[in-house]
This record gives sequence, C-alpha cells and structure tokens, in this order.
Amino acid sequence: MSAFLAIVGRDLRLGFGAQGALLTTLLFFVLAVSLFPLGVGPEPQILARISAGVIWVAALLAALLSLDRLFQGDQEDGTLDLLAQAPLPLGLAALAKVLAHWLTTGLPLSLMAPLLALLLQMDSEAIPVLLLALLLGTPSLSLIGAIGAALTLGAKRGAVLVPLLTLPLLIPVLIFGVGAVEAAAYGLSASPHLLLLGAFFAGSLALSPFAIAGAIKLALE
Amino acid sequence: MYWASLGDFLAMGGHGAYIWSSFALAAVVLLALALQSRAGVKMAEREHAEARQDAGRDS
Amino acid sequence: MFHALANPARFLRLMAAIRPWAAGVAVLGLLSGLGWGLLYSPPDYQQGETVRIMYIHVPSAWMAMFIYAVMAGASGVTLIWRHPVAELAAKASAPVGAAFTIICLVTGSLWGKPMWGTWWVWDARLTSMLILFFLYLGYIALWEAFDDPARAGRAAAILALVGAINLPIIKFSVDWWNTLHQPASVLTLEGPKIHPDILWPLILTALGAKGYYVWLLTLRVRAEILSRQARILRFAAATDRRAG
Repeated sequence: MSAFLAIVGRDLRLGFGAQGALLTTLLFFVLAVSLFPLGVGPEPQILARISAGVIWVAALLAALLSLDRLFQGDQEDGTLDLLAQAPLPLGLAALAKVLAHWLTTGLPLSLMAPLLALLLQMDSEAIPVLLLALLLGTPSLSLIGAIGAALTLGAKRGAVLVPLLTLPLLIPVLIFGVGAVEAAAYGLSASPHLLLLGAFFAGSLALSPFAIAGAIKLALE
Repeated sequence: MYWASLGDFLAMGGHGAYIWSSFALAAVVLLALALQSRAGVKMAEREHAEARQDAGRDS
Repeated sequence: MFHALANPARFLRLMAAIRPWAAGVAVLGLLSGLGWGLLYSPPDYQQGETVRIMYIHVPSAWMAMFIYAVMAGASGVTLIWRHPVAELAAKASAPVGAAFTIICLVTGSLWGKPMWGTWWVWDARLTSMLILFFLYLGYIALWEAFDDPARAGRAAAILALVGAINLPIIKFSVDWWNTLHQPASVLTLEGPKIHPDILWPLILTALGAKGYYVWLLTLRVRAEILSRQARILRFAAATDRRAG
C-alpha cells in the first residue's frame, strides 16, 4: 500500500510541477473550448446545443495530450525497470501512475468544465450532471489511454500513435458522457447514461492493468 | 432473368452509375490486394533464396 | 526466435494445399452470389435497383468484422502460446480487413446518395464501420512503429485483444447514440426484409468472400514466413561471420 502511495505521490509532484501535465491539459482544454464560439458563431441556442459535445471532445483530447509521456520518463531513467522488478505487482504500480495521471488531468478538467459550460450557454440543470459524468468518465480515459501509452513506449512517432490507438476505444465514454448531459438538459433522467459510464469505468479498472503491465513488460524486454 | 435487355441491365433503372461504381470499386480493391499479395510472395521468395545462398556461402 | 520458425515447412505446405480450394470457393461463391444478385434478384419496391449495392455492402461489412475476429483470435494464440504463425496470420489479415472496411464505407456512401441525396449518413452501421476502420489503421500502424518485429507483433496482439473486447461495447454505444439522435424519417442502411431471393445471393457472396480471404491469407502468410526466415538466416550468417 505504501509502495502504491509512494508512486502516486511521486507522479503527483511531477504532474503538478512546472513541466507537469496539469498546466498543458487545462490550458488546452480552455483554449479548445474557446475556439468553438469563434468558429461556430455566438448564437446562444447553437452553442447550448453543441456545448455537451464540445466540452467532452475537448476534455478527451486534453486528457490524451499528456499520455505519451506517462511511462516514457520512467523508462528513460530506469524507474520502469525497478517498478517491474519490485514486489508490488506491475499492474498495481501502473494503476498508481494512472491514478496520479487522472488526478493531474481528468480531475482538474472535470472541475473546470462547469465554468466552460457556462461560457457555452449550457442549461444550468445539466451542469451538475456534466461534472458528475466527467468525474465518472475521465478515469476511463486515463486507464485506456495508459494502455496506448504503454504499447507505444519507444515506438517511432509514438505521440501520434497514441490518439489513433486510444480514441476509437474511448468512443463509448464520449457517447454515454454526452448522452448524460443532454438527457439532463432535456429534463430526462441521466441515470442510464451515468450507469453505463460507471460500468465502463469498472470494466476498464478491472481489465486494463493486465494490458498495461503486459505492454510495459514487452517494452522492457 | 430479371432484365429485359442489356440496355436495361446497364442502366439499372437510372441508378447505374452508383451501382456499377460500387461493383467496380470492389473489383478494383480485391484485384489490387490479390496482385499486391502475389508480388509480396515473389519478393519474399527472392529474399529467402538470396539469404539461403549467403548463409550457404559462409558456412 | 530461432526455434520459432524452425519448422515452417509444415505451414507452408498446409497453405499451399489449401490455396487452390480457397480460390475455387472464392470464384464460385463470388460469381454465383453476385451474378444471382445482379441478374435474377428483384429490386426493392422502395429503393429500386440501388438495393443491389447491398450485395457488395453487406458481405464486406461481414468480412470486415469476421477478419477482425480472426485477428483477435490469432492475437490470443500469439500471447498465450507465443505461436509465430498466428502472429503472422494476424499481421497479414489486417490490410485485408481494412480493405473490406473501405469497400463497405464507400458502397454505403454510394447507396445512400441516390436514396437520401447525401454522400454520408451517420447511421449505426456505417459509423461502427468507420470506427472499425480506425481500429484496423491503429493495428497496422503499430506493426510499422517498431524496428523489432517480435516487439511489434506482441504489442499489436495486445492491441487487437483490447480492441476485440471493446468492439461490442463500441457497437452498443453507437447503436445507443443512433437511437438517441434518430431523425423523424428512419435513415438506416438496412436492406429490405431478408427473404430467400435476397438471402441466398448474400450468403453465396459471403462464402465467396471468405474463400477469397483464405486464399489471400495463404499467399500473405507464406510471404511473411519466408521474409522472417530470410531475416533469421541473414542474422545467423552475420553472427557466424563475426564469430569466425
């Protein structure tokens, strides 16, 4: 447990630091969302209609940005070898890094989203659902994204490859996430969507450590 | 047969362009794949023969 | 790596034996299925003759999914038993699957245009097919991303399995998404209700397409095996030279 927390702590310190993922992610998120009114026009009805989709897509892309560095730094300085040989199972070590990644990307994105939702004229009833949906969905982004990051360790053009590999796998999160928010905006129940988001998260949590650990071991051979 | 004449067959009730383009596309893609696969085999066979020769020469 | 392809001869022989049969199935199936579909089957009372595009569109959709399933199965065999020919079969299949996906997408577009006046329709099947296309691209890209083919093969195998597990979920979510946004007129590319005059040409074409795939596979896996062997021989010769 302490080994797990140690990994989380270390990655958090790196993530919140000057070159960490936090700033890039948030900055990209805000910029990307802000471009839409400029591109689409300021009409409130149109913005409100597309707000859920825009915020979700921007969150997805922002969370992906920092993924290719998730394991790369540790591979370069040898930490990854140590983690693979440590008593803590590699899957758990990977989960620790994914948790730290989410704390520095998905969580801040989710907390910032309501503000951006206001900018995009989203229905106020939908905004709490947006927050909840993002909190439920962004962990899956980190989990599945980590699989892509581990698979492409040391690959040529790894940075370009990660989105190609990960985005198709994350489409369910996008669909259910936006569905939840739009349901709330129309006064319907968001629970089916939120439950599906939760189920996807549970499934990713259970299965991705195996894929991530397998991919890391492959990279270290 | 459903068609009264070759003309009818080719025209496909006015939608001939779409239908024949679809069939043509499928034919072209599948043919191209077949040709590329055969070329791949020839190249691999050549590579293999050369490598065998090289290995034989050195032992 | 040396033991891995130590006895490829058995597989090469097997593939050579299968090849003519597969070719036969391909030719018979495709000609009879498409011939029946073009010449003898009736048009649809709503869609007219364009429904004949279905005889290309639907079997290619089936093939795209079938080949991905084969890739996933071969990837599982690769990871569990480290069988090298399974890995090569998966690698060889991917471009074929991607090609069928493209055929499905383009014929879907050509089918949609005369019917609804648009070149693309975001219906559930086409959207799922588009996503499948990206999954194929990612898989192929991963093979090309590493210099070490052993590493590439295992990474691609993991990716294929992850994709296979995800695929039903993706399909489900796309169907869900589609029903949420269903416009007033139901725009789908479902053909007319399947009845024998339409079912049989479809089945024959699908069988022919499978035969074609197997035939292609025998060629492509042969090429991969020989290439690998050549690489091993060159490597062995180089180390011998350095040692001797």
